[in-house]
Amino acid sequence: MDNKKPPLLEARDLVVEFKVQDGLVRAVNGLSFKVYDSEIIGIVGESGSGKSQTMLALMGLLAGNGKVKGSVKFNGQELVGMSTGKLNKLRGDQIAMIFQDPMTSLNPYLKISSQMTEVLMLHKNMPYKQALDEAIRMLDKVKIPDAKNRIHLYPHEFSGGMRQRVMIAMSLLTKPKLLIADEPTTALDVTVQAQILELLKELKQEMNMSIIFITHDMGVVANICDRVNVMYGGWLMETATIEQVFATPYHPYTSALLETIPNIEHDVDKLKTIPGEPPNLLHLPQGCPFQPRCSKVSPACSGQIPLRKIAPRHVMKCTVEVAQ
Amino acid sequence: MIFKTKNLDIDAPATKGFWRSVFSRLSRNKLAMTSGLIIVTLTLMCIVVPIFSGVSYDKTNWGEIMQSPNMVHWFGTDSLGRDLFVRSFIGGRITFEIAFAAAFVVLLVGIFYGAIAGYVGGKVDTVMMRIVDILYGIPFLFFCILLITLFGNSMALSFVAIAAISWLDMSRIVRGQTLSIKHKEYVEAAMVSGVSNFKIITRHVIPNLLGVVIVYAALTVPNMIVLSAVLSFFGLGVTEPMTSWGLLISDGAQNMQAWWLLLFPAGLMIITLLSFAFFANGLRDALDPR
Amino acid sequence: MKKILEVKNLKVHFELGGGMFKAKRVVHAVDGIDFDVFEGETLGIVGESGCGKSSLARALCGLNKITSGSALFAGKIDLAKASSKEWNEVHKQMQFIFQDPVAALDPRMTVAEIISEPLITLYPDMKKDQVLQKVLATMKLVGLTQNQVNRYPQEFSGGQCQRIGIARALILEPKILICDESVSALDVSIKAQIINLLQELQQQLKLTILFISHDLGVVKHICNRILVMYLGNIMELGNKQAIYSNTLHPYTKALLSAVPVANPTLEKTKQIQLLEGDLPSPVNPPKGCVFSTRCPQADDVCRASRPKGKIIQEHFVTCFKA
Repeated sequence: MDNKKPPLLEARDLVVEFKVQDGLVRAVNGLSFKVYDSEIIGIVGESGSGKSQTMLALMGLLAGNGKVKGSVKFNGQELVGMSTGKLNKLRGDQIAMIFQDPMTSLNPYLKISSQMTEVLMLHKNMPYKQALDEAIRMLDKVKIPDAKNRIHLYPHEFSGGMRQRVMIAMSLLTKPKLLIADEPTTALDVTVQAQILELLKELKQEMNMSIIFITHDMGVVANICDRVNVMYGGWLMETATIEQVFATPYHPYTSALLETIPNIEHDVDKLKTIPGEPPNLLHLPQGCPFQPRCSKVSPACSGQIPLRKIAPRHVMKCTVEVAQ
Repeated sequence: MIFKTKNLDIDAPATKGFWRSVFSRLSRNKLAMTSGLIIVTLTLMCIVVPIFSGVSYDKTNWGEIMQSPNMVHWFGTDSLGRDLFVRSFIGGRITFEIAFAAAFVVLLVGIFYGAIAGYVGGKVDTVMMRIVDILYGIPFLFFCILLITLFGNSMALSFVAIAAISWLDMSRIVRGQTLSIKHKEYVEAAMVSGVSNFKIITRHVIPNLLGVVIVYAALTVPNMIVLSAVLSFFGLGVTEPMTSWGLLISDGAQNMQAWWLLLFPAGLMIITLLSFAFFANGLRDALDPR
Repeated sequence: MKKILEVKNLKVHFELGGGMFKAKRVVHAVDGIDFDVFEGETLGIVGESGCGKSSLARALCGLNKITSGSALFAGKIDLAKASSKEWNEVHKQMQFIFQDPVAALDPRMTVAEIISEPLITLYPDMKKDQVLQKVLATMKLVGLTQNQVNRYPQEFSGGQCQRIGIARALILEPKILICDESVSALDVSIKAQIINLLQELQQQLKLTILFISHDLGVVKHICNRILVMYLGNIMELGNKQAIYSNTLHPYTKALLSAVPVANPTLEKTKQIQLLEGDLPSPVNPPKGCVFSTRCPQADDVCRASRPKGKIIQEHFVTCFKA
């Protein structure tokens, strides 16, 4: 990938805050990252890491009590503070999103055909006949057998995996440049998950788009991503290519996380654990949110912690000494 | 069961339980608290005023017929010279008595009927809910008139009539809630420990649906007030010289030139109804903070 | 080794719909399976959603009705026709841990009330003091502190809630623990804590564990033997090494190859056996081998008749090709 080209999407010092009854929750805290053309970037984290809130903020879909600060540039356009109308246009056209539960974006009372053609008729001003052909072509592309007839079915007449394919097809109709996938395979069985991951990789090649893939499963990251952002407690802990992350995870959180996963390839007697509980966003410590659970904690951790570049394309936010 | 840990030398702070945190949220809602205060005050006045006013509610007083509100008779007097202030509150007392008693019966019958139908399910559920459907089909007024022609006109009867139809809604709501609670994992956990069905209903199902039920009950009371007023408006139930808000309003509506006869009882009733509505609303927000 | 549970031709069927004018449809959730559970082992039951693993687990502890067949518990009680008195005996010795740690705890009860409920129910004569002592001891066992005893579940994180659920199951000192996806809903960093806790408890208390999960990595870590289910039938059953390194059944092979591994070089190079299509409906299971509609090796024989289970190299396999 060529780094001289400006990134497709660039987030800088992104902050997402929610006002709740007991105070202010900072779900995302000073997040900066870039997404380049036709790459798959993973965002991993546990619950409360802010990974989903980041994406909702990018899409302007935060709940009513949420507030976004910082800057997100997509193709040179600033997304933070953009009017809803313009954002809607962009969302339908150049940025698409798929969710864990396909039914959140499919209307159960409408046939797939009318939902898919509506998108094209609205955004591309296509006549119905042409839109229908295009929709069928897209269903073929996501490998739905007998697409020509099955397009006239209702969403509930598809199985879970097929429904996910329908949602992917629908999100790709307008040939977006960026696809945001929020845990799209979490609810699926492994065999179906493998199908969907393969499909996404193929589609990415074919349509030359970038994918932001949000997940909590390091295995899925290893399978599909080129680069990965590791998040914890609203912080971006480490950014690197997946080879770097899995071979030399420098951040104590990343390396601890990788060690806790039972691996199908090699056995251990006892799993390593990360002590303590997931972060409570209402009562985060000063400085690094991982401090209470970190094995390499030092007094410096409660101060300002800058982003450090450790290797080319490998950045982390931690005070720990790194043996080069 | 509450465990006392004092004698065990453990510092085990009991945190705010569900109902206490509900109450603390409710107490922060000014509108609901004001409404609650109005309801309590009106209830107390209905008890106290007729006892201590020293004025009889039923004695005809030919010297003071149809007086407009003045310093002696704050709400004025009616065509038989009776003090409307006292009559309004004795009428309120009857109205509240019927409404609260009926609400209590509705709660009791509705909760158990609905919880059993929902929890047991299957054929029992089908039969129980069909009975409810049939009772729904009976027209209310027709049912009341039938009762009165059979058993004669009395206050007890209007209470029976109101209670008999009002538990139907409650049982349906409770049944729906029970159905959803029944499949919760904590109920299954109790089953796996051999907890009897009756205990599951009383220990797990009812406490968890109580929130919804209480809100509904708070909304039921004003409904009962309206129903009893409707009955007395048509001359069913309460009979002269005893009175109720419905009867007073009906009187007032027939004497439109004596505006106070309509204004005061109707005003009291409207205030009561609104207070219950606001209070129930606040309760719902407190029970389900989002 | 002693058998603690002998399951023979067990079927769990559910009737769907069936109104006044509609024919009833029958879901064959578990469709005639045989296996034994030995004392002290951890038997993993794996398979995709809809394979019947949860229905099986729930039937064994009385949450679902057993349609036919038998399940002999501790050599004396047949769960398929146990009386309610016998069930109480079973409940004392067989407990269940649920998937959703938060939903499994009654939000209106304190921790002490939740954990003590099985004890109070099955040993009603026990004194209150004794109950409390037992509650506190069990809380310590699962890594909860005593001063949390009067708190409500909402104040705990998912991992702690699961500890409370485990304490509730263990307070009766059961012999068997059935864990139905008990770590699936937990965060990665918490999952390892709970897995380790279960393993420690098993050694300490000599527990037998039935571990139902779709996560093959976790199952491989925690289990001695593994039972692979598909559409209500056993595909393969054997000890861990046999299943993972000498896989015989094509379904198990596909399942194992589909598991994403946290190793990018391996992920980029490995061959995934993608299965075509979806799980057939358990209302109308295929006539032949239940896996024949998606099996890459299926032929006319597979599609025509059901294979019988056979024992090859210490595996129990249900496949014509193995």
